[in-house]
Amino acid sequence: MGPPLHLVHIKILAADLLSLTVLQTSPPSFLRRGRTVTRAELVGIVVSRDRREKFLRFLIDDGTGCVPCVLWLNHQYLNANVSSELSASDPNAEMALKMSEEVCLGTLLRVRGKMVMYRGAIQISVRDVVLEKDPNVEVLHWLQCVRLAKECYDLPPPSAPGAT
Amino acid sequence: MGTPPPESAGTPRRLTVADLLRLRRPTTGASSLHFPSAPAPTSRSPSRPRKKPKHAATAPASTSGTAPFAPISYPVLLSGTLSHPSAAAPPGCRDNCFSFSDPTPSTSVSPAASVCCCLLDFDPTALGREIRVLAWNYLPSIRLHGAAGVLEVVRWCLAEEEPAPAPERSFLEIIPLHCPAQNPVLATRGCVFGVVRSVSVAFSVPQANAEKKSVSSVGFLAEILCCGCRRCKLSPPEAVQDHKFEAVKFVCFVDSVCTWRPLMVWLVGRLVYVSGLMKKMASVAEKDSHIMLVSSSNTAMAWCRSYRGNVPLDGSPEKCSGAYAGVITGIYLQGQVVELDDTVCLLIDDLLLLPPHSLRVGAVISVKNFRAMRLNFSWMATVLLSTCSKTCITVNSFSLLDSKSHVKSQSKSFLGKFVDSLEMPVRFWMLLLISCFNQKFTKLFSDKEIIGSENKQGVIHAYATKTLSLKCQPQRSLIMKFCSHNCGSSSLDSKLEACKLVIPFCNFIWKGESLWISSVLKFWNVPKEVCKSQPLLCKGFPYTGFAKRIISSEELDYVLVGSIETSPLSGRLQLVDSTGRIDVVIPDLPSNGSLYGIYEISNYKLALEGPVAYLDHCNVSDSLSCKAIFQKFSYKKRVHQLSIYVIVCWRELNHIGPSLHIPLQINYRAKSFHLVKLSHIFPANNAEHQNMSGPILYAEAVILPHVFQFIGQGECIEHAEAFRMLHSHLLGSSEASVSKLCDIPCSLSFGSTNLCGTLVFSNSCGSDGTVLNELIVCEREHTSRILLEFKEASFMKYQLMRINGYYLLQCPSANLTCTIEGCGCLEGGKVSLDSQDKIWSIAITFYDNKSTKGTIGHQSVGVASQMEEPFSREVNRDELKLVQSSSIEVISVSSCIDIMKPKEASGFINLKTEELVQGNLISVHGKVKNVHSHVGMGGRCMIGDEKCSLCIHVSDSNHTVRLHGYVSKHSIVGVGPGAAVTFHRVLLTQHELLLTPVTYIEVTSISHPDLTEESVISPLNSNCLKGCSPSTVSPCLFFHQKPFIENRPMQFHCRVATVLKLVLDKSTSHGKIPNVKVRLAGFILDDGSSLCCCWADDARAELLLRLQELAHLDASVSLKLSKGENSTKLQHTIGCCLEKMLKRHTCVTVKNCGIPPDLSCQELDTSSDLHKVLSRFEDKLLKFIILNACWKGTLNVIASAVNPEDLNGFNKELPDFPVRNMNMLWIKEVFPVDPLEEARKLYGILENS
Repeated sequence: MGPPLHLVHIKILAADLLSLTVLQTSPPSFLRRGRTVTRAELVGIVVSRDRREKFLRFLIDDGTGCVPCVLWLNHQYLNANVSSELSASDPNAEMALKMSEEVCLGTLLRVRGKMVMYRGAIQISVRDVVLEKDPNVEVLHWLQCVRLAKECYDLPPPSAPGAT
Repeated sequence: MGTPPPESAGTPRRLTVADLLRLRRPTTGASSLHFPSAPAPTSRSPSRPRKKPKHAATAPASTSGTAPFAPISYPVLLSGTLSHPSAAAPPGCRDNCFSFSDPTPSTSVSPAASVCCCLLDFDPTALGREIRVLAWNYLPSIRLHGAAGVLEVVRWCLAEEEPAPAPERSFLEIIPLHCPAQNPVLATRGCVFGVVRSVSVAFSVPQANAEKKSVSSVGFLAEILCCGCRRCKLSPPEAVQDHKFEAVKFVCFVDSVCTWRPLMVWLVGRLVYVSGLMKKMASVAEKDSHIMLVSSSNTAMAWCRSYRGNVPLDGSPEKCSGAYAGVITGIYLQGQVVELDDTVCLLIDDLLLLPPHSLRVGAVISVKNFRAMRLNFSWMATVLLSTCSKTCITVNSFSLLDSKSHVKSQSKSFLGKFVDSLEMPVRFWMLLLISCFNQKFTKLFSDKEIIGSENKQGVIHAYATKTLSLKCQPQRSLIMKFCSHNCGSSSLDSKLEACKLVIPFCNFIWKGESLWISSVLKFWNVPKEVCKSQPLLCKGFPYTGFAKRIISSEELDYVLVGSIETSPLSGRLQLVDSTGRIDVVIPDLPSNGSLYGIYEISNYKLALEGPVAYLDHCNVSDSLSCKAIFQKFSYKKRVHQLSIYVIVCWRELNHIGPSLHIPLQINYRAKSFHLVKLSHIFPANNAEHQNMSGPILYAEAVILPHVFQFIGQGECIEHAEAFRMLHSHLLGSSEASVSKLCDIPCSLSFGSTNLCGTLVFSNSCGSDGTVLNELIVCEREHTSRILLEFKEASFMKYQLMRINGYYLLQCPSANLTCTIEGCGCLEGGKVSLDSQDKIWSIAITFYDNKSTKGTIGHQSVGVASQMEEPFSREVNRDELKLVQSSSIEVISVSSCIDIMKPKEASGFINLKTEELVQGNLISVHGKVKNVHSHVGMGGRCMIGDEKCSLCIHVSDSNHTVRLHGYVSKHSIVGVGPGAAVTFHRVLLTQHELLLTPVTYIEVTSISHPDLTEESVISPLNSNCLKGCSPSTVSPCLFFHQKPFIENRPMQFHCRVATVLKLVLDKSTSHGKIPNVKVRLAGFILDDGSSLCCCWADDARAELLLRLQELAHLDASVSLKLSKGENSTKLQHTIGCCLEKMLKRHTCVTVKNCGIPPDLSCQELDTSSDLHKVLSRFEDKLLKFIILNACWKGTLNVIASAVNPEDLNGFNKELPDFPVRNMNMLWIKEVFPVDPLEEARKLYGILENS
């Protein structure tokens, strides 16, 4: 029996992520073998980058597929009620800006975030990105995906025994 | 001259030998050429073939080199007569080749043109007949033997088709040699019928007594296994049946028949009938004589084509039988050593055994009758085929790869004779030795000095004689050697022990690198240990630390032979040969030593020092194979940042080479000397040498107010009887001090000389100041520092300089007054030392007297002339002492920390700013804990990687400091973990020690821990691991619940999801950077399977919080927290900023009220112990810390279950969901992930599951 997965960032490959079952609830929920997942961690190469005023959209390609990601840079609008000086120095906003600078075409990134639906497709609302300097992390990530799938994610869920 | 163009495209053009002789470059031709496409007339245009030979003719050197064979692009047919070589041909041709000549026109008077010829698929029927050569290679006149070129016949046929073989074809085919007389005289009726087993080399046949006066004739011997039956003796045999070939008979082919040798070599293993032989007694020695059959003018030969027997092998190996066929993969030493199939060495060092011309790289040859032996040298094992007088070499396939013909030189030097006198395995070693010495010293010394001349020993000969303790032995006669064959005894193995490899340095450096690569690979590939790949942590960043390996010469089996020089680039002593140079450390270098000539070092230690970085499988080809030693080894650096050096004792240096006697004397007549104390040695800086006439090295000295004078009759200092040391008025103090004259007896030791003399005071500093005190007072107060400039001739002296040592400096001005104000030494503040005899190390001993207060007996200043035993291990078993350390003015690491501590902390100094870094230059002594490259943290490599940013962690028993800065890779030789090092002139700033361009690093001793786990695990980690051995820690997932059931530490691969709680304190331990203590930190960690609440303190928490990493804080925060700094882009570690905050608050507690795992730092509950309100910026800093901790890649954590009760209630206020329900872990260790290593491990797990 596997543990609840909705709190953790599951390590996942793009192909698996894009083929998750989407329940059209509000907000939509995502199922992996019948178990709810909400957060994901991906490792891949930035193949597209689109910087707008309020967000940065980029594509992460891990060899199995491309996952659209969005990094929000709109903290000052969200903190509209706070004084301008304070909002300007919001550490969250600063961090997001710094992260957006790390997202360059061709770089290897580790991305964590929540799964969301945007125009009918799964995308990641990025919580953080980490620049990976060692290309071996990609291989390690693949292996970890396999291992976690075998030992944890794809075990029968507590609520639905026997589900495959 | 070129080859004429073809007459027509279809029919091959006829070529004659005379045409061949005009070719000037290696050429191949064939009678029919197959063109894959339609014949392209342009490729056969007349100009092309003509051009090529022209070009070759202008560069005749290429004909003897490896010029490729040029194919003739149209079909050619070569025809001519095949015959035995002429008796007048050079020995190399007469012994191996047939002759190929143009058919002689009956009208012509001049002899027809002929060339040497080697044939594949030889058939005796072709002898004396015209043949058509269908495919051939032609090597033009080989420079060294002066004869016509060599024709290599690949395919041929008889010009006139032989009539169909008659059914009644005889059992024996007559070989058309020449027509024997119809009625043979009785004396020549001897005949043999048997199988040819071996053929000797050609030699001068000793004549019987009666013919003593005649010129000795050339001949060769053939060993034939005959049938002893009566029938054979009476009539020519009719069939091979009923014959047993057992009786050995020797047939000597002399005079005109000596040209039959190529034929006889082909007949080895075949059945022959030789008739017309005379029986003769051949005297071979004083006492011994053999009956043998000798050829006459009536000798005729026939062979049996149908015989398919095997030559019975002679059992014992020393009888030299056996056959080997292989491809030539290398030819070395002018053809003396031939490598076959990359594995076997064929030694052709017998001067009489002349190999065929076609012996080239790529050819397939077969060797018959040799002695095979396995040579087990200590550094290499190989199979050696040693040739002897019986050996035959035939070519089975010609080579087109190489056109270089190797012809042995005929001259016999003293060394050559010596080599010939040696028995086999030693002889091979001797050839290796010659090859090594030639490679090593050809450019450095003259050939005469190295190889010797006809009657004078060179260095090689002297070295070999000394090593082998052998002398030339008389040679046996060839007939004796051939007939009663015995090629050596089997008791030679013991002698090989003395035969070590005199390794060329490029091979040695390659070997050193290979040893390093293999130990590093071994280290990384040992499975199990979880923590072995932990890098060294410095300021929170993981680095690859340095490790050291010391290998004793006993394990290496090489002897180092080279000359010793000081490198102008590094200022270090180096062992030098033509192939490379290695740094050498001679701990007990005598102060008056001279190092000219070639030294042999057989007892040494090889030190390898470098970062334990993961190396991918590099090229680890063997640098000690025969090929690598005979051929010049091409070295290419594979490992960067690896220092390879050799530590050797002075007494182990054995001078073997040509010497230049430099008299070690100081001419002191009418000269005075200054007493100087060395204050600094400047490291070699190659950038300074540009635009100068030659390399110069510098040191700085202080002139002490004493002038030396020697008293005596002789010319040089060794003959002096006494000395006077006059104190001068250098101090320049204006006060008129009372001139008190007093004589203090003292003694001076200088090399092996001890002199007694007096110290004469003319100006005393204090009323009762001791001599010693005064020396120190003087050097502090006066400013007479001088720069000592070492030019190339005095580089040796630079090596001998020790900081704080006392030296006698010859005064150039020859001023005999006791003042040095007007002395030339001070002008310009620089003394140029261009020869060896201007500066001398001394030690002065003051006897007990009234002026030395508080001392009993005598006291010594200066450098003691006797060094401690360098390799003595009495004090510490694992230490090698390199220099004697001086204690004055060098502070320990702890005192260094004490100096740094009281000063106001103002953040880390950014090296990138334009501001001058201020501080004091000090000397620090300590033990190196580890070294790592600083590249990546602002540091970088400079000009050609000569200088690199390094961080050296130095400690004493209590504290550790970090020194960093740009250092030349030469100056850190020996600065590895465990070395005791004094850093002279490092810059002490408020927080750190900086290495400056003038920093001199003196390695006092080095320890030799081998590559162990400790050398790569940071001290922090190794301390933490005490409770849990790494081997017991197994990787685990949070959801497994194992740690809570089994209650033992587990390893997790996880990331920080959020920070729950922080209790920060001002650190109480001194010297801690930053001065922050994390009393407790609560984290939510996420490993992909589950979340877990983990607690940590101190260093573990610092790592997870990334307190030691540089952070680009927001300008406002930085400004507020670092007063006085005006740059908004300052780089600070977060810890540094926290340190300032904690100065104000002493202790700060932070509680995160957000709900994990969401990244929330909006709801922080902060409190200060002093109940001060945290400023907005401090609040922001804390938020930043939490966010920054989450913005970090994956880490490895070793943790075990913890009882929440043990957390002093800190867990009480945690958010209910989801943390309350979580099990809790206590983090014991945090270390970075090595992705490759972990991936390999994980792959192993997945594969086995």
